[in-house]
Amino acid sequence: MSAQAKKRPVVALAEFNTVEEVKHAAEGVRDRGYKNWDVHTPYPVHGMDAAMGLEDSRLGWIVLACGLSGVSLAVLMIQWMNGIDYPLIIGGKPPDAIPSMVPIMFELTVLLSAFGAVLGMLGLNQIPRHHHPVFYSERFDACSDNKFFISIEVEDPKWDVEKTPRFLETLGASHVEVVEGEE
Amino acid sequence: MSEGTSKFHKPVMIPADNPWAHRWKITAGMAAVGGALALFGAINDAHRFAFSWLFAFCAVMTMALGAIFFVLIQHLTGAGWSVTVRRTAEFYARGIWMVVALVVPIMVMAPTLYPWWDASGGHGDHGVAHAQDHGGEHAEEAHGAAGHAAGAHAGSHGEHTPEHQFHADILQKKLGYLDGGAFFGIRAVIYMMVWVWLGAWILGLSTKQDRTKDKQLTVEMARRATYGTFLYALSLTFAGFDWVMSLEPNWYSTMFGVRIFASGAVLSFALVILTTKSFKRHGVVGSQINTEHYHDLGKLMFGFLVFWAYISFSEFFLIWYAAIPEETIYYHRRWDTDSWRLVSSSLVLFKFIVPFYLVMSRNVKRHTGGLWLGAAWLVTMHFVEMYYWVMPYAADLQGVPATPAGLASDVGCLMTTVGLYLTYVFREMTRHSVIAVGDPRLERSLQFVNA
Repeated sequence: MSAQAKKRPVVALAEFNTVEEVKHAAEGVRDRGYKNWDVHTPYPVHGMDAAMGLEDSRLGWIVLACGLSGVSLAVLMIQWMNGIDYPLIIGGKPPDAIPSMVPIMFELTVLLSAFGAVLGMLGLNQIPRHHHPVFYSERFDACSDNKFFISIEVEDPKWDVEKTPRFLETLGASHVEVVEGEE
Repeated sequence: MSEGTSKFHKPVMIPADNPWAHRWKITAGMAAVGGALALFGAINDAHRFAFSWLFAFCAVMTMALGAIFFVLIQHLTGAGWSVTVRRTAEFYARGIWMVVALVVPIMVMAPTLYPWWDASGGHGDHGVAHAQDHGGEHAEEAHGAAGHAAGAHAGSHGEHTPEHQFHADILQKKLGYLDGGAFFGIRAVIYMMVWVWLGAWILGLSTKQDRTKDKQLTVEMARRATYGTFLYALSLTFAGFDWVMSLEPNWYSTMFGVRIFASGAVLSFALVILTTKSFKRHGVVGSQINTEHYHDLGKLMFGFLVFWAYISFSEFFLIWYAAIPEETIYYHRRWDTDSWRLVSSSLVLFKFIVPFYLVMSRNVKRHTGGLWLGAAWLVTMHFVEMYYWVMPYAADLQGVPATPAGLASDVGCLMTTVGLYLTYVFREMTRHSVIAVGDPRLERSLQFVNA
């Protein structure tokens, strides 16, 4: 990537002044069938998931798989270590007694579930991510202050360099720009 | 959203032609049938009847105490989300007044129920020995098995083995508290005074707020909830010691009060879910109680289910690990016979593992049918758990097959206590608004959305 790299459109950015406007516009984008797009707000907005048409997160399934792996791993580990490989009688209990396994089962379930939840969340959100084309826009700084934005990326199957910005304008945006970035 | 936007909320009363206006008649009928069955049981086997009544009483006591906990926590945390469902719990909390009536037979039958009853009152060693015998033959077995586990098998179990003497000594030390007489009754009166006071203001101030819309009452209820919680925790724990734990007078467990509380908490969330869902089905309430509230109730029910499992297992685990005979006896009673082993195992499987997976998913909590099933399941298993607490001490259930009269006693007592309690609660429901319309946080609850 050199300084002379040719610039090209990467994202269409629409600016809104109120929550109601951006929520309404998000419903419009959703209904038009766009896929690679996002809403940027200074604070969490209730009902935005539905307005954007976001489906249930798959994170729960990742955590469930990790938790079940944890509990199975614990059983296998204790059975092997205490029951087969090196049985020790402690306190007169059978070496592989079930109650003695339970704390380990619990701990490994929690541990792997936590790993699954944190790493899965990072993975599904595609972070860490050091840069995004929206930051090429100077107006986008207001997103951490008092403005609301919708961005539609060029990767979207429905992207059209003419129609997409015009569509965003019809949704009531106060300002629409096509942000150019390096390839 | 018309309810959400109006400034003044009208009381939500149960219409006279609604099935909920007549539910109390069904439960009253249930209590009448149950009463006949229980009477049949009592005439045939008074001993078994005493334990059946205690089991049925525990089922109702935990319902009312769980509901009190639900409301106290909402006031302590200043919860806004729960305002529309809180009144339902307040009705169940007020039901504690019926619990006061239902405890009377336990006071009367205490000499039958509690092996330490005759041990005090100047009978000396004879009394203690009698208390020891009272547990029946199975208790002997359990002592033996416990001793074996601890590596201290004493061989034959005559009346004067060192182990036996040791247990008699433990009991002797406890007799200052476990006193069959006035002290036992005075304590019961104190618990009941605390509970009646809680039940009175929990519903009383809240319904007063319906009429006056006085915001100051919210502050007053939050204030009472603070010291009320301490009084609640202490009275619940000591009532548990007195009426349930002392069935096994040699036993030590500092976790038992928490176990009662945890069972009651799970039950209260389940009852609120079931009741409000029925309210909705019959049109008593509309969108005031919606998916968002059920989602949160489901989360709390799930959370407290895990809490219950956690503390119940911890209690067992420490006792199993230490293998001290006077502690392990509690679990030997519930494991050494096939039938009780079945009950114990069913609690692990059906009160924890199955409902844990059943209500784990967010979608199930937000899906009315799934959450209903989970709540109904947990209420059912709660009765099994109450049975597990009390009935191993009924002499005829210590390895001897159950008799028809005994079963009539169990079923009849449960129908009687639950029927009377629900009749009282359902009658109260017809008298007041089923939603706390005077609460200043009502609007927040109506607009509440899970992030």
